[in-house]
Amino acid sequence: MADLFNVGTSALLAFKQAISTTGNNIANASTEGYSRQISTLESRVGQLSGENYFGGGVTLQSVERAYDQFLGASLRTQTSAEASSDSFYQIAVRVDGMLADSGQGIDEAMNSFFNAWQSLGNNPSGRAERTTLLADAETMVNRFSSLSEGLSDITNEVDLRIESGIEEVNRLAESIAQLNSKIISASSSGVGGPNILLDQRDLAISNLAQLVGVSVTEQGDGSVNVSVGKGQALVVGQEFNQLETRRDEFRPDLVEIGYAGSSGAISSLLDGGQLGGLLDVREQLIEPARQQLGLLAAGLSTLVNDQQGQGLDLNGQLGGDFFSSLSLSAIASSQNSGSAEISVAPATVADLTLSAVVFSYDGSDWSMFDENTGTTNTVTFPLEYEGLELSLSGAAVAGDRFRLEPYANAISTFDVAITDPDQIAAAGSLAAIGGAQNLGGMQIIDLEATNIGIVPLSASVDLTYDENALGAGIPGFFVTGAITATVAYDAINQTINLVDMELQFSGEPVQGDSFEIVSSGVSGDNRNALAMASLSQGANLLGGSVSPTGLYGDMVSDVANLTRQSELNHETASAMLLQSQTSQASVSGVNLDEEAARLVQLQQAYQAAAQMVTVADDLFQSLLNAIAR
Amino acid sequence: MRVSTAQQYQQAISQMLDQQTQIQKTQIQLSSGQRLLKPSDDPTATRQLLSLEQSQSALQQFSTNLGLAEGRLSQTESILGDTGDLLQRVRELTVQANSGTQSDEGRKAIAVEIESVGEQLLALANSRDQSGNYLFAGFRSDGAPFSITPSGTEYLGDDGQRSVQIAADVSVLTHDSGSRVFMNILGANGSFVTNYPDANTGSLLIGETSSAGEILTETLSVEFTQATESDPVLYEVFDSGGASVSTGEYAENMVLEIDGQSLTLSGTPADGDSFEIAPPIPQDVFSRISDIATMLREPVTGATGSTQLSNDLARALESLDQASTHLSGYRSELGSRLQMLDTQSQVNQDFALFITEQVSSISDLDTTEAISRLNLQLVGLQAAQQAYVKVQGLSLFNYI
Repeated sequence: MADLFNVGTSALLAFKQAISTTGNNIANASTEGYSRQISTLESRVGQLSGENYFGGGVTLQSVERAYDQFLGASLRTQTSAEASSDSFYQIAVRVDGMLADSGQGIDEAMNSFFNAWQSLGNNPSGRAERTTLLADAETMVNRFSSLSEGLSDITNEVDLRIESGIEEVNRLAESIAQLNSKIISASSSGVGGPNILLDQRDLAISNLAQLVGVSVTEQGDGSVNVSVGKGQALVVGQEFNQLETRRDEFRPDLVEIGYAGSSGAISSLLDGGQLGGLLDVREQLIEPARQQLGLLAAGLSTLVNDQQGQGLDLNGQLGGDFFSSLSLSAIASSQNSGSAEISVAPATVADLTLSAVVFSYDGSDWSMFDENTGTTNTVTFPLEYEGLELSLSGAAVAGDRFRLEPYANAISTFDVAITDPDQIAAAGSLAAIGGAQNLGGMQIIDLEATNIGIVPLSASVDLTYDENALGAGIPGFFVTGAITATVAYDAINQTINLVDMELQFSGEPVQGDSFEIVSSGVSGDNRNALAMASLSQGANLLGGSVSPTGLYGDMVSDVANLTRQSELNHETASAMLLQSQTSQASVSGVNLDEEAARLVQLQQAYQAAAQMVTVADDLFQSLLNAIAR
Repeated sequence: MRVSTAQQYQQAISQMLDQQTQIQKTQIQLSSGQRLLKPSDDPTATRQLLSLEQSQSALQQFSTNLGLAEGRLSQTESILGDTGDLLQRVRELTVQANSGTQSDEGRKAIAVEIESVGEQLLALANSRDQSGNYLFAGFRSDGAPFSITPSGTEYLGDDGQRSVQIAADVSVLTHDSGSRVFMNILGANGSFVTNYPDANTGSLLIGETSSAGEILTETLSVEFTQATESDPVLYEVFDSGGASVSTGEYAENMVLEIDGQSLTLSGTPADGDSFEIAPPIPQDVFSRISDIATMLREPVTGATGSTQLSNDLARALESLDQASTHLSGYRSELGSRLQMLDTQSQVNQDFALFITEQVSSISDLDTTEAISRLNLQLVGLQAAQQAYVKVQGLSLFNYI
């Protein structure tokens, strides 16, 4: 009887525990990170009575969580990949949308700007045309600034997200380390694993994987080591390292990531997770777009300013700068201790390109490290590099470094320099007047100042044709006035090269034909305006491969392609993550129907066990009654 | 495989959210009529679209330029037409004045009229375009290019010619310099002039002149001699060095040919009469007209005076014709420019149409396709919602 009581009560106890495990599963059906727990019952060793063994009842052998560490690892990887592609895409699609917004589109503004030069060409002295041109130039500059500011705003937001992400990483690292220590002590004291602590730690690691790609190594004592990026330790057993954000050495407007209390940066080593995605989108999409925009502004303003300097404004003076000069510079490292500065100015427009080089000084020589090719060369200043004139001032100290990233902040000072519409140089520089008595049909059809410094002319230049100007049979011109010379006439090409100017003739000369060269009468001259207008169509940037509007188009399509690519990446990563989540959930997740069935099963077993106790009681009562009689 | 209840719900919800995102995109596409909502929807098409829009914008500007060019050239052409009419009027008046029946007073009256025609001509040459710029001033279009001074016509412009762009690689001249149009036109027949001195006493008339095309470069002189009244009249031509070039007997209506230049001579030259054949002098249109007026204002004395005037007026008429030919040559050049504008305008329109079609095929939404897509998406979402509600109702707990 005692046996039966024992068996019954052991069953009641075991089933009650099993029911509460199932109940706990039901209770946590929606708890994030919860792993379904499985209670395992075990038959108790019975007693030998006579020749037979009789069962000793049942006991709850263990309550374990359903967890597959391989699926868990795969889920972490997929979580990082998805979070990375998601944060990349979310930022990219905003840059993409910014370019799509026609109110911010630079293409349209550039087209209007160049069309305004055409309109000015139709009426070179027109006040209205000049004012419109200035307004269109303002609009174009504003579009550049607003797009550049938009990109800066997004960069700032990315930086803020990185900063708060790093705080979260630190918090999670700390909590993983704490959980490690709890798990170590729980594992050593108890028999079964501390399921809930393990779940919490897995959840913390999964949240960490959401932020940044991690790798996890299990230790013998139940703790795990967590590292980020390419093996950068974050949690080692019960210890953890803090990360921090700080300003980039060369770009104070950008943040980079490093270990707290150590100077090296690990930004470039981090991979995956939100942080990886943010760092990637900043490096691959926002910065290139910003620099392309800066390059475009630098190219455009140099082209327009150069052309403006080739013509005369309405006051008869050579045109001054149309756009203010851009702040291009090689950025000094924040670690520099010398007073050296490297100033940068555009020299050859067609050679401008996106560069990434670092100059460093070893105490006697400067070397230039190209980040794209990985090559290092020794250089001396002043230096012309990729269309830029670099000059050094101040004293450098060994170890000083500069990074040439000329277009990163170029737009900040991009502005229209002239305010007076009369200062727009629509006219060419020189004009000719044929002598009233010229017998031949000779005309000057093109004339160009090869040394623009002579314009406006101090006095007119008078040319008289003579068949024997340079000796018998050698035709040429006697030149007087601002230039005094006797120059040969190239009868085949019909040109003369007159010191500071080149003249192109048509028609046959007759002895004594004369011409007068004067500064252009600016009111009706549109040659420079037409030359300006043609800048939009000329392939005059990036080594003569692309026009200004083409360069903008390339920038838009680069962003669009990257965005499209990241969208596809994100779709793939989401599908992979879903698959991984489903696999993991099929092992660890709670199915309520399953738990209901189990509940009914255990309830019935419990009731049966209770009945067993009643039977034992009845049997006992029967025995007592029999004795009492 | 086991299914986690929470995961089942989560998945159903996120799929419905995805479907709603798709529906929203289709909805925006339909309401905007645009296939591309952002560059990344189709990066290649976006790049193409940017180029096409640039071409479109340039074409619009070219069409504006073309319209303005057409206006200016038409205006110039009409001015040239008027100029031709005025020159014709001067010619008629000159012919009228060259009649032997005209008195000094009659010629003076004609001179007054010719002078007023000359003023009209000057006003035409000082015309302005619709922006108020002088048409014939070269690059100095802010001031009137022509002014008449006591020393002659003064051209204040320069030789600049203004052009505008009417297609990517096509420009057209819209403003020609006044010097090209009205000045520097060679006098008489364009190859040589004749100078008939006052001292001549005979009645020689130098009639029609012509030239093989060469411009005379040296001054020749023709001298007539007649030993006695009964002898034939002989002529001798000397070159600029005084050497005799040719000689012969003069005959009424003879054609004198020297160096490819020919002159028809009539009347009776007196012994000792002479005239010069000289290189032509480039001259402007206005001086020609005022020269005629000056000739007509001079009183004519006797037969020699009349002969003198006739000879001068004959050359003046040739000069006028020369100017007319020059101007009508320029006018036909304007005509061919206008013709070119017409052709280019057609080409531009065709190109613009082509671009519009391209833009539309790239960026416009295929509405039929989008609507059927929307229907499909709506059906999908409805099905998902219904399935969700049904599955949600299923639980073993309902039966315990």
